[in-house]
Amino acid sequence: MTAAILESGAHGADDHGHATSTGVSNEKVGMWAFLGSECLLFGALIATFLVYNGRSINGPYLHDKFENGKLVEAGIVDIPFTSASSFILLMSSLTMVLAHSAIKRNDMRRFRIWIFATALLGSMFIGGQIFEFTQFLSEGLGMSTNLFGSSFYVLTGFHGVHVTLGIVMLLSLWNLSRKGRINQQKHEAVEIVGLYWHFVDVVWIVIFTVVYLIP
Amino acid sequence: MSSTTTNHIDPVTGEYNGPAFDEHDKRYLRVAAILALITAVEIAASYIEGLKGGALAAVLMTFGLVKFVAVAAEFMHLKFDQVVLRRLFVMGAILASFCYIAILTAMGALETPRLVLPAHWLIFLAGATVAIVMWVVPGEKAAGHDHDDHGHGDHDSGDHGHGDHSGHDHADHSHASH
Repeated sequence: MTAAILESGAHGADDHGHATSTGVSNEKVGMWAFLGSECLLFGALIATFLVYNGRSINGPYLHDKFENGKLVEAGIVDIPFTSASSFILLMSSLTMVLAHSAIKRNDMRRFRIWIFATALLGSMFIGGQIFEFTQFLSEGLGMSTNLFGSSFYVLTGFHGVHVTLGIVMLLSLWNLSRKGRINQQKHEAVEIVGLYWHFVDVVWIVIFTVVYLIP
Repeated sequence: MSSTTTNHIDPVTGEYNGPAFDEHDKRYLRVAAILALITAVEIAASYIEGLKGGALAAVLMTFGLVKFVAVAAEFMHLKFDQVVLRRLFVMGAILASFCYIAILTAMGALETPRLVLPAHWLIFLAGATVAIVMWVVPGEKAAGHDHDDHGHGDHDSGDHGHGDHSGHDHADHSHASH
């Protein structure tokens, strides 16, 4: 995917006024259309999670379960830990935008630093998610344990797959930069990968709020 | 490329050798600091004993939407880019809102009192409001922002590919059919 984007990016900075009816490159429009369709995917997954939320007849549950004001079963979520990994993903959006800014001014050394930092932060987030899943499994929450388990793992798992694909694209850009195959003229390729990365970040903003923070 | 950036290009290597952060980067850093602050407040709010149910959901959803819009507008450049791109994205978000309502309805939201929670409708209303606002509010032209250098034309009229683009050097390239 990165190679295809890179090909498109070769047209990037040189033909600023892209010869399309919109004045925007087809690749960029394509990425935005793709992200629009991704809203539907995650919209459906989040809606499913919310519909199933609280309908499980047996635990474990994410948050503390109360009945008549008494604690029946303690929740398994570790909010501080997930908050830290959310913060890491949020900051990866900053390093991504700094990487794009660096390549636009032909600052290739800093571009490599920022793009690698973005991939590293993304990897830390995925590491945190794997750790969290492992913890939940040890607490007895599997995919088919209850309604919460299946909807939770599908939603956060799909997001994790998106982040992983993003990391692959970021590392590809970093590697291509080391080989001198990407430069200022191809900055649009970085922008397009950046759009994808920011999207997975905004999706996590919604997931974190809806799934983890709202009981 | 701005003239400030051009001044820092090494004439031999052609590489940039200026300061680590330019004006745009400083803006990104400010936005990131605000986002970090909002995240901290969100987490703190989720621990407040007196804040529960619909009130907590409303507060957290508001903060979440502010973060969503900030990342989309600033980091994804929707604030500065062509309106057509924003509308492509918002169209998906609007359809997602309808998808959300369709699933709620299919699962018996209209019959089951438990599902008619303020949080559900709050999410839908908040999402729909942001989508409409993002759709109709014109884009902002950032002075010196690189996206303006590209000759991508009008940021607010929405009639892309038409009309005169005074001040844009590449009009001939972008409107070959005219």
